[in-house]
Amino acid sequence: MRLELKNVVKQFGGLTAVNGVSFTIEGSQLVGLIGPNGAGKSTLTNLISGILKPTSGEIWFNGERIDGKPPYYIAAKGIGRTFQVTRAFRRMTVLENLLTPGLAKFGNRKSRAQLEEEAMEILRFLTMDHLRWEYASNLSGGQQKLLELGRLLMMDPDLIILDEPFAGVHPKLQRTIYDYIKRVKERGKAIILISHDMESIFTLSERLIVLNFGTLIADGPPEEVKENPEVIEAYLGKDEEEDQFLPTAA
Amino acid sequence: MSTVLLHIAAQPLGVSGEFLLNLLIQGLLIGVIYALMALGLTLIFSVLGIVSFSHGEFYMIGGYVVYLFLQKFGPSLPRWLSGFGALLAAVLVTFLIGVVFERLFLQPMARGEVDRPNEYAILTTFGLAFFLQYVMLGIMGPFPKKAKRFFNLPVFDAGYIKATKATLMIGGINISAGRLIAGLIALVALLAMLYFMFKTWTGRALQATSQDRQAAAVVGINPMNMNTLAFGLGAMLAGLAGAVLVSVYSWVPWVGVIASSKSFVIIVLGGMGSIPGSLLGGLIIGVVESLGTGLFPDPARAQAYRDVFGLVIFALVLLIKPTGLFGRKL
Amino acid sequence: MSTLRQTYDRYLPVVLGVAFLLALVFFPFFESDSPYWVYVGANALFYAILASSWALLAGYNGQFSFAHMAFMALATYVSGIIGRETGIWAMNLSPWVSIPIGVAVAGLVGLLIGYLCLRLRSTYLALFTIAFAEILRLVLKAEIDLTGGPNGLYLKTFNLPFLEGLTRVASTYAPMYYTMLVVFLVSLAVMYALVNSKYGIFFRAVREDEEAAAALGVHVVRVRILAFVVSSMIAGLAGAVFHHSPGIGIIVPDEMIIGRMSLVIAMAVIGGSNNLMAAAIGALFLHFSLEWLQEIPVPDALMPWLLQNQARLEAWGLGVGEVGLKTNAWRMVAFGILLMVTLRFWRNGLISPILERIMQARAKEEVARGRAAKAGKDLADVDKLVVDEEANEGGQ
Repeated sequence: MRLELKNVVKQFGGLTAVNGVSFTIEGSQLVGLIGPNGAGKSTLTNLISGILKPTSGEIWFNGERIDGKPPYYIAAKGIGRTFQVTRAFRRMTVLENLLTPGLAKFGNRKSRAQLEEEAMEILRFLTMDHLRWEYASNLSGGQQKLLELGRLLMMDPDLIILDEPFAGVHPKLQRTIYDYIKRVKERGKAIILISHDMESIFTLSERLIVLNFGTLIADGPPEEVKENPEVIEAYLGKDEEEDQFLPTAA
Repeated sequence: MSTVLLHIAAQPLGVSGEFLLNLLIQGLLIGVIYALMALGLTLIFSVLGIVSFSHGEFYMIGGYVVYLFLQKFGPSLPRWLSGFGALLAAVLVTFLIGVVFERLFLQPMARGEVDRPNEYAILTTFGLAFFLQYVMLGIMGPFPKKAKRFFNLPVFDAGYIKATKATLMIGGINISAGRLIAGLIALVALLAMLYFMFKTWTGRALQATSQDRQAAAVVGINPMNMNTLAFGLGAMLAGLAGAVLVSVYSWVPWVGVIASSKSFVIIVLGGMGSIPGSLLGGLIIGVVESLGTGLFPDPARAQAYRDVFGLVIFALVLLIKPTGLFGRKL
Repeated sequence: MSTLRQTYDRYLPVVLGVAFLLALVFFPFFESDSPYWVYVGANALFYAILASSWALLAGYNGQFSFAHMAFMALATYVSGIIGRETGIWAMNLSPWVSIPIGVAVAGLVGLLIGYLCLRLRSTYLALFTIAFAEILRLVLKAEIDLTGGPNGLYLKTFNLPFLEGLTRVASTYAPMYYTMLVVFLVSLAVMYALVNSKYGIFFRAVREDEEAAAALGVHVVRVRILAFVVSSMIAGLAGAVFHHSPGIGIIVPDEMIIGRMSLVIAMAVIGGSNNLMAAAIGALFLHFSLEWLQEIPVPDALMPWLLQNQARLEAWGLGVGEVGLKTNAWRMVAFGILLMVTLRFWRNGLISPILERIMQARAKEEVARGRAAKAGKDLADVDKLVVDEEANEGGQ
């Protein structure tokens, strides 16, 4: 797995949301993508997953240029993502939600029964197997989040982008999400984790990429990035409430 | 100067400058009425956020109200009074129906009680259209009706400009009284509406709601009432358009269908939610139709294709630039 | 859970389905002395095919197209034009040949329209399809030399010698009825096959959230176009076969006016636009009802009163017939009210919830099981729980 961004720029009219970002992720790294609100993290995610097209620059994935390709093409190539606001298929059952990506990717190779079995296994892992006939709209917010994560597993991507997976999630569910992330890593997948939850980011990430006003201002191991003066200024300069953002116990 | 230009433009087309001018004037006259109706639809869209698929039916009802009023009260009242009365009746009836429908069926949507509001709005306004068409079919029957012209032109002769009761003649151009009056009334109504929208408190409240509901609520405007008002006014404008045209065209219960179509064409062309867009769009479509029909190579089929021009423009705009001339995104 | 109840839940759908099928098949025999009702039945089947294929596109795939009747007419006109003996583009083809060609053309145009609609959402899509349908109708009306203009196009009717015998036994309209029944069953089979395949899931996923579906790898372009092509071809097939049927033999442009489209939509919505069978049953039921309502039979005691007030009734667009009150346009008014009320209070339709209750007994059991498991109860108690739930529901 190799994701490479070369000088990616995205402008909306007069606003430059992403300003010449370049980095490479290889193998099965867990990379945290952080930055103050409005730094361009979601835009970058949309660029990588194909919802947006870069104004200039290139995005390469596994040796193929993917910028400008439609989202379903990129998904088929092996990039999966979640959304900040959960987007489960409300009028479909939990099982059908999971089957969708499975059928999309493996519909020609695996039988429906096989895919259902895989889906059930994932549901068991997420302790939601008793919900398989429920409509997604009847699930709680936290369960919907888990459902989205389950859907990702079904499409077996090489790279997963998690957009604020911990937002608004209570501690018990957070545990499950942690386990999920660890398990995904064990399977050899690369993960880009976007979160404002600094504890989680610092615990899980092997590498941090920091964006500010669309520009990449730091890229390295968490300990290093933490000490980076530009990073500190980016955060402290903006939001007084976040003075707890860096865990004191390093 | 412009007459010279028209003569120049006319030559390659093989028609006289006067013919072209005539087409233009006819187009503008009808265009004003289109603009009035489109303004109503724009108002509804900008405040409620929906496209009313029953707009044409209010036009249809406006026409029928005038017809019925004139039938009942025409003989006993002086001509001009019955004319005004008919227009007033049409305006009131359509406004009322609009308000009642909005309160019963659209308020729940605005309150967030309805799933898939976009779909709901389309289907429920379609349902209303269906309902109104058949009610009028039941009451009026399927045979075409036409109202008598309710204003006569003053007869005079000033050489170059002459007028009989039924026609105004400027040089070689004939304009029927019905169309002329219709256009003038529509113009007055348009100006009155614009004055209302921009110079009165309520009108500005409507605009405020269309721009930002929450901000409007914060300054004391009740968005729900604005919704009702907007829909009522929108319906009323369509009704007025029908009211003035019932003495020009023959009227059947489905006369609103093509009126709806045209309104859609205009608001898409002009840009959804844009007042100048709907005004300009109305005039453009009126002129395009007039020129298209008048200059169509095969006169036998020209009339049949009259409505196609607008629709083709419509389809193209939707595909190429859905926001139209001035509009904001849906 | 008692095995009796289990058997009931599992086999009820099958039994009802078979009963329904038998009713459809033997209907003409019951009505052999009133050919009119068999004719109505054939029409009802025509609408049922249109309603269910519209439901596929709009209910399942979320594309609210108003071009459905346009495709119906397009295939019919193409088939009629190339099938006739003389005239522009006439090729004197038998309906067995011209109908498939007409349907193919409808499919191709469906492909084009589907492609054009890819970037259009909800209201814009509705508007664009309305424009397309209206343009087509106006062109059909205007091009008299090609299409016969407003007076319509005459079509060859097909002979079905093997069905001739039925006319004697069942009714003059039996051949037409059975042709439509076959098309109805075939269309439903095709649509169900599609809906139960992976495409069924894709259709709904794209309807629910197109962006999220794309992010999961669903080829949204292919899915949306497929929905358009399939639904337009089925509409085309229904139209072409219906109008070539002995007993019809003509199509007029005004059959595809927006009013007819709204009728089909209304039937699908009242039945249940997210369920093929519900939409079809809704159409059947509503069409029969509308026909029956044309003249509401009135007890003999009331007839004199009706006749006395005939003039007054007629002033309001009603009438007095041989057996009762003629409702004329007013039955459609009632239909319109039904549509609006259904939309407001029974968003998923009137028939759809009933079908769901019948079909999902098994699923309900699992949901109940699941909820019980979640509450930490011992599975042995689940049976008791499920029975209690059902007892409560029965009491509602």
